[in-house]
Amino acid sequence: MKVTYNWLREYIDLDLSPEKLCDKFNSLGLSVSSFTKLGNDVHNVFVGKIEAINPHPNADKLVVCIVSLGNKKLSIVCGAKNMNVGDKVPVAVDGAILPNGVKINKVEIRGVTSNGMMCSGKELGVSDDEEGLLILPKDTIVGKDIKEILGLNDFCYDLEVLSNRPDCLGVIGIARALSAVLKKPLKLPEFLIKEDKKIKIEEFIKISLKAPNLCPRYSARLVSNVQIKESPLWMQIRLKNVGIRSINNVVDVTNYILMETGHPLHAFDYDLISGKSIIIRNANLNEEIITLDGISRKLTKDVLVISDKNKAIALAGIMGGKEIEISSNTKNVLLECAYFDPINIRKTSKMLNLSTESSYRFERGVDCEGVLYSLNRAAYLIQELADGNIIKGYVDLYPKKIPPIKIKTRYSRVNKILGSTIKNKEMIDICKRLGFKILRKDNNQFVVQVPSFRKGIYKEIDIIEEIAQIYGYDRIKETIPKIELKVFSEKLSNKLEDFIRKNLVSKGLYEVINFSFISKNWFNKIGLSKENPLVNSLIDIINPLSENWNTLRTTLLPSLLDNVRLNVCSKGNKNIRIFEIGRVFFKKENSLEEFKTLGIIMTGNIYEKGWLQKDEKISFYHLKGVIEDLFKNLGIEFKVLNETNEIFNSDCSASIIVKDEKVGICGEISNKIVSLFDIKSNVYYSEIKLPLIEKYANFSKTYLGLAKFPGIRRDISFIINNNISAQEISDYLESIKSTIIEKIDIIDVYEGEQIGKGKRSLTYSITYRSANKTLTDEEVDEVNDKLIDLVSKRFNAQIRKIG
Amino acid sequence: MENELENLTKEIQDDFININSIDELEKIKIKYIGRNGILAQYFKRMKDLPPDEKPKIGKILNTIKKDLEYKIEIKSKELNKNKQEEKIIDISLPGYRFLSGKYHPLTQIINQTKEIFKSLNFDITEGPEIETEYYNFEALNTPKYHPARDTQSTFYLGEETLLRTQTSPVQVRYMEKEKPPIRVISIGKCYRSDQLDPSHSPMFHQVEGLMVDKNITFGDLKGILKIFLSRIFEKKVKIMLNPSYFPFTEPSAEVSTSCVICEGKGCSVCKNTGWLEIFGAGMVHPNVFKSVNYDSEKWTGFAFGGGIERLAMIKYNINDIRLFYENDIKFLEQF
Repeated sequence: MKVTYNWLREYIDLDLSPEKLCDKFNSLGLSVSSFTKLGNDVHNVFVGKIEAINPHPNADKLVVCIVSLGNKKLSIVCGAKNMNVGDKVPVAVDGAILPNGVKINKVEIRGVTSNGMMCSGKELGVSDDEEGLLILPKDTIVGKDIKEILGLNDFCYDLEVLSNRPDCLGVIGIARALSAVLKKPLKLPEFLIKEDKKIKIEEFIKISLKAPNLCPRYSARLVSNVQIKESPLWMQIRLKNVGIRSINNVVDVTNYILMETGHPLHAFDYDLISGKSIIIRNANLNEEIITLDGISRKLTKDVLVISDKNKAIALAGIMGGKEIEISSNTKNVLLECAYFDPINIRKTSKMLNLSTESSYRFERGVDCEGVLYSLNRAAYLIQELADGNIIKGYVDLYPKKIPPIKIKTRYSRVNKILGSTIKNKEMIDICKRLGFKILRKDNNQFVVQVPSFRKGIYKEIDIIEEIAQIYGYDRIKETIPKIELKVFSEKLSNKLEDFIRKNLVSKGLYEVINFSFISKNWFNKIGLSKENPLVNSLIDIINPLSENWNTLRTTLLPSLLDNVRLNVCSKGNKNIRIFEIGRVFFKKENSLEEFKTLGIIMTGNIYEKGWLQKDEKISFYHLKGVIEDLFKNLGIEFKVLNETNEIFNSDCSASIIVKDEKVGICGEISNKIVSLFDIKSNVYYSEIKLPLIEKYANFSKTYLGLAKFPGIRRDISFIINNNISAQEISDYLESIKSTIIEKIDIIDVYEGEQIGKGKRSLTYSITYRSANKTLTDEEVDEVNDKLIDLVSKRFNAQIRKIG
Repeated sequence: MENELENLTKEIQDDFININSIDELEKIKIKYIGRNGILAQYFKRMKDLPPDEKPKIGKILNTIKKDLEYKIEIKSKELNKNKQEEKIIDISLPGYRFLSGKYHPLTQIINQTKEIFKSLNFDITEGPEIETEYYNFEALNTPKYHPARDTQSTFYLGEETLLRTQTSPVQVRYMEKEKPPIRVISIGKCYRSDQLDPSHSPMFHQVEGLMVDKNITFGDLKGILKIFLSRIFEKKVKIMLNPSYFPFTEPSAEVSTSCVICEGKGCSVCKNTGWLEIFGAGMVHPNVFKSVNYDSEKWTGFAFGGGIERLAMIKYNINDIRLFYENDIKFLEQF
């Protein structure tokens, strides 16, 4: 909602500077989104009077005018045609500046010196008219700064009006809000309607209200014999300053009232109303109307229309019909001012996807009791600006008066909620200034009647807010709550998530955050079958912003792969170690499910090249190491098992198992997918479902004591067939029950000609330790030999004892 | 004596592990095989042994001696070799580069926020991102066709299901589960169908706070917000509350902090106003208490909410919200 300083001053005396007024607006909740000094871009343009128009000696289409600025006369070359001697026009003198930064200098035009320029409305930025010069009213004083004449010595505020304050969608409403806080009286414009006494309105038009629920009040006046023409300059400029384009005097008046009182009005060309009757009714199913914007719209029964005898001529409260709009031929104007049901207007506006200045106000609620004031004010202005005759009387259909709201407020409650010490008298005073009528009061409470222009005020808490706003939020002291003791413990899921982040960051991984939506097409692109649960559980967004974000992710892979692609292909970051913790979403039979998932993706080298860092390519074992360290610190034992997965290369594809439950996957992203995203290096990926590991995580720590006796290490190399996995041997070793085996580590893996094709050597380092004594070599060797014996038999392994 | 020698072998082994220089090796040499060294003393004690033990012990002692001499020779070679190859340390060369990772800047703000509210004894909770119309709007006093819904363009997943547009539904879910008094924050992702541009994102993070007790006031809301904003920006800030409108709080306020960049003098970040809008806040509306069966005569409370991105952009001087979701490593490593 735009409003200017000077317009406001018509209704309230302001002794605040335009700048200071911004703070007041903000403190009223009318947040100032922009504050501009109008005419800031116009300099050295004055009112001039054309004293002579002489032909240009060297150009047929140009003339040379002598223009008086009062104290001096200038000779100006001009190409316009619309001026006559005696006209008053804006003159930009040598050194003038026009909007868009245009500078005017003394120039020679085809051999004649031009000492400036006479301007059109467009050149001054006050209208769209570029055809000819802006001819100013005859009584304009010559020599005056044009900014004063054109209302450009003013300030414009663009205010964000909260949706519960439709009363501030008009200049008068804003002045009224200011008057409560500035303690200045509101001055409503006074005007006198001169009715043409001959014939009563009822003889011209019959109005029937068929839908009083959707239109509680409908009023109308008829103004005859209007002259449709341009509005006077002051009106054009005033509208222009608040962002409304001038159309003609009658339409401008309805827009002016819209801005002034906040009440939308509609003007019909009376002579085009067939049957001379207006019916306010629900639309018929599939009834059509061509609205002012030229669009044909199909209606439903829920839509309220203004209709004549034959058909709908306006969408009530939203937009008029094209056929019956005010045109240059209009002679008689039927003015409508009504109160429509806000919810119905909003529904229709949403359904038709058509929001207008009018619907915006009706759906927030206009002043039902202000209907006649706005109607009369509009009729008066049309009478003034279009020389119309106001026909005697008016129609006012208001079958069921909307009862005023009465609210009881306790003084003590106000201060209890606010933590303030506002005096009873001040509360009453504030309510009065806001236009609330005090119906009753005693020592404990008071009862107010809410003025009809205020919306959304039903309860005591609403009155408390009113008092707080005018009293001033800044006057309420900052305090520390006095509260009861309550103790909380951190939730496990929270703890787990924080722990994982900390663990991964400490290992050199970067955390990323991606959008939860991805493109459905992604799965298509990488060739996942429709039966894959990642695809058939997708939850689609009904109204996506774009095809790239039309479904909720079931896996973090698309986002993380895209992060890799962006970093590697466009940002020049070749070595990537990143992770994300985010929710994934699944459609289940009867529900939509969401849970947090961890995704880890790595590619490139582990280190940036450095003089101490060799080129160590990231491999599956780096990824697995990350997972191992994480799980170890979470106190979770896990295994990885080969399992094919469409997203991984078949030789490097695994599931992560904790106690027979699959909690995640890890592997190398398939060459096919990687190449689709233009990534040249091998990409390793793991995804782990957090709720599944949450129950296994152990955060409780207990000191286990330190070893009292020395341990003894034995290293053994087994040469085994390639098809036996390290896991199988480890599992077997662990299954051998011996109280003195402390830990088993793999310290070397060797494949090579020395040990033969299809074979490899795994070297284990086994640490033996007893809790009760120092072990002897014999004791250790006994177990170690048994162990060697068992493994070699079980796996047909050759043994190489080392030490 | 046999046992003693076994221990001696171990002692020798341990000593050898700690040898790092020729000097140290020389000392060990003197200690064991010097003229009055340990081995010499054992040899002297030989004469006191019973005759049948003498050969056995003699053999062990000789083995130990031989072994020791061999070890000394090897060690001596090794140490001399080291000495020859010893390089000059150029301390100006860069050190070994260890890996270091980073938390996402939004996570850093989220963690700081959690820490501050934990220190104020708030509980931390979470709610679903897929919400129902009821929790996201209706229970928050925002019925269908309420104009306030205009400011929250919503992604729908079905008739009644949507992606939450705010973290406020968590308030309702938490109050349904817990009895007052309440003090809780919730941080999470929210979604609005706004086109992605430097200052808007269809997904963003919000922090939501709620405190309900017998005597909670608007002044308390101001107090808690001042503590939080001063702590998160690590500056003593001033706060300003201006009237605003949220259907689920009343009185409602738009919360601004004195600009932490120019300290209120006026700069491009605060658009020369000296103030930065940070949060929406207010006293919990009685209708919200009603929807969770709290007696609004007995309990009062405040709620507040705001964008994590906004806090991060101010604190880290980031001018484009899209950077958070692009995840360029060169961006992430700056925090």
